[in-house]
Amino acid sequence: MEALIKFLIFTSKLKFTPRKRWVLLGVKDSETVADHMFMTTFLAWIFSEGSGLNSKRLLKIALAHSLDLVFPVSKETYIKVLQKNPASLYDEKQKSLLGKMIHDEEASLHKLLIFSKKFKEEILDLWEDFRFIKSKEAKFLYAVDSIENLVQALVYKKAIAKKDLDAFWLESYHYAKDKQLVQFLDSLKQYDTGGEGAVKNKEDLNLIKFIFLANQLKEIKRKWDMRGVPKEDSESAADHAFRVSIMAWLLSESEKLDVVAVIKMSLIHDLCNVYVGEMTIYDRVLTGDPEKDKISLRILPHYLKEEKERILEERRKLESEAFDKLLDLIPGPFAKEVKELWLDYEYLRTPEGRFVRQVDRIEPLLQALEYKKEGKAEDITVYWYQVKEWIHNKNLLKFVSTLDDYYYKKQSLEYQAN
Amino acid sequence: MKEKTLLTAAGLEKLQKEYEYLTKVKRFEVTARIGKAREYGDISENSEYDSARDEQSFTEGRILELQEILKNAEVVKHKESDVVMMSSRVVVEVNGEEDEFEIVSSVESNPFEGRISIESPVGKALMGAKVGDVITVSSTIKATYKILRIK
Repeated sequence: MEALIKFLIFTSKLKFTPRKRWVLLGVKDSETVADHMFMTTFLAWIFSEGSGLNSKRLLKIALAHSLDLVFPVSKETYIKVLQKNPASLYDEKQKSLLGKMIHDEEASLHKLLIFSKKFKEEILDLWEDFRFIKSKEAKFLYAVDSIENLVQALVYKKAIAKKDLDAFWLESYHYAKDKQLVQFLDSLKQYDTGGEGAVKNKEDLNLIKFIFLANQLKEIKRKWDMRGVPKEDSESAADHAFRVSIMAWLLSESEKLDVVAVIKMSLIHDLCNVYVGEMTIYDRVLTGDPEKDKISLRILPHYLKEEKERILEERRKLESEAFDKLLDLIPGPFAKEVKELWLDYEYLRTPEGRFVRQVDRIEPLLQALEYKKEGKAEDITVYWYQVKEWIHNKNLLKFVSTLDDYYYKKQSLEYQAN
Repeated sequence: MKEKTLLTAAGLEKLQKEYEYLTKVKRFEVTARIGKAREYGDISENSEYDSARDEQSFTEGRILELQEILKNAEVVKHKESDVVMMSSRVVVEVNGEEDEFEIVSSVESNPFEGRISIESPVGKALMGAKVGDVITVSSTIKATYKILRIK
């Protein structure tokens, strides 16, 4: 279990690694690698509806495809190539140069997989599948990955040169073999050049709006500033959803759970935050007075049962309405699936819902410990109080107890009394 | 002898609802999904068929699991007690304030609703406690609860 903890801590680096291509294009405060991996996985799910692909393999490839970036190789060659061609549409000479780098990237991945003996073979297989585009799922994901880059490039439109934006269009059309993806790109082109009114296919227009809304999860910072973490060091909602997805996937493998449902649920569990922002248990407790708030933040808010139920119903109503508003853009089987998964998660209706909800309590604890170790967060004891109330699954209890040993005994993290 | 699963009445109802949903709705949805997957062609190379069969395997597995749990479930009705047990509602003092937990099975636990599982560290520590007891949930970070009332 300690090895898995280290694996997850290293994976967290992706939440704070800006994507090189945007940095090279001069974008300030760019998305992180984890942001991109979240959105690629989410888009893979959206676009694969009715495609006949194996969803388990597709989602897992998406979650694993950039894990080599945890220990990035020194990429002088790559940087030179990327500077000339940020959209990854390489000529033969560039391809040959980059082909040599795949060995270095694979060596990087191996460094991470030392901490994941149980999953090493599987993750390697998924990563190689994507890198060498072997399976139908990998081919499809390559196209989705390009579209994700294009969507982000359009968000950054004002900050990047037209010739660079054009490269992203070229890349997307190059890899999109699927009729549905090509049609989507055509609609996106109409949207980009002529606005909403120019899009002939109204279903595609609504999907475009939905995707740009969901993409905003990359901009929504989680409320770590309450814990003293500087805003520029705070992870985004997309970063968090990415690591919950990976954690839930790997931890669910020793349970009798539907891993596809687990991954999908993890991806969408905070989707409504694009409308309601991150709602925390301190929203009704904080006064704005820093001295008073510091005291409130040291403990969990305490209420009697009826009050707890009332507060919960209020939050659920807001979140449910936000989900409905978002999903009304794209009615159909995908929207129905998202809503049902959120209800499973929120109302703890299924074993997958109960499992992911618990992982969603542990992931912030792990992040809090990482921030504390870096000297960025102050008192984080409330995260421990939360898991003591929430966690009941045997393996997750063992995971939490291993976390306790790892940080407080092995890493000598000081526990500060209230 | 099969292990009994302790549940409150609400917990039993929750599992019965899940069982009904799986046997009356999900099972048929999955069968339809398999039927549709066959339309994608040769099933030996058919990824959607594999996906659908996986889902069927989970659904049927969960149905069997629930059948066993429901057969061996023991419902603990709420009753007045001097001692914290399944179904008790406990008012505690923690950090100088009052908090309240209902002690339930894992299936129905939701601390945001005030329902704590007997298998969670807090639930485990509260079980068997009496009014006036001060219990500590152990680990490096300790949480202390004083039992004020047991409803």
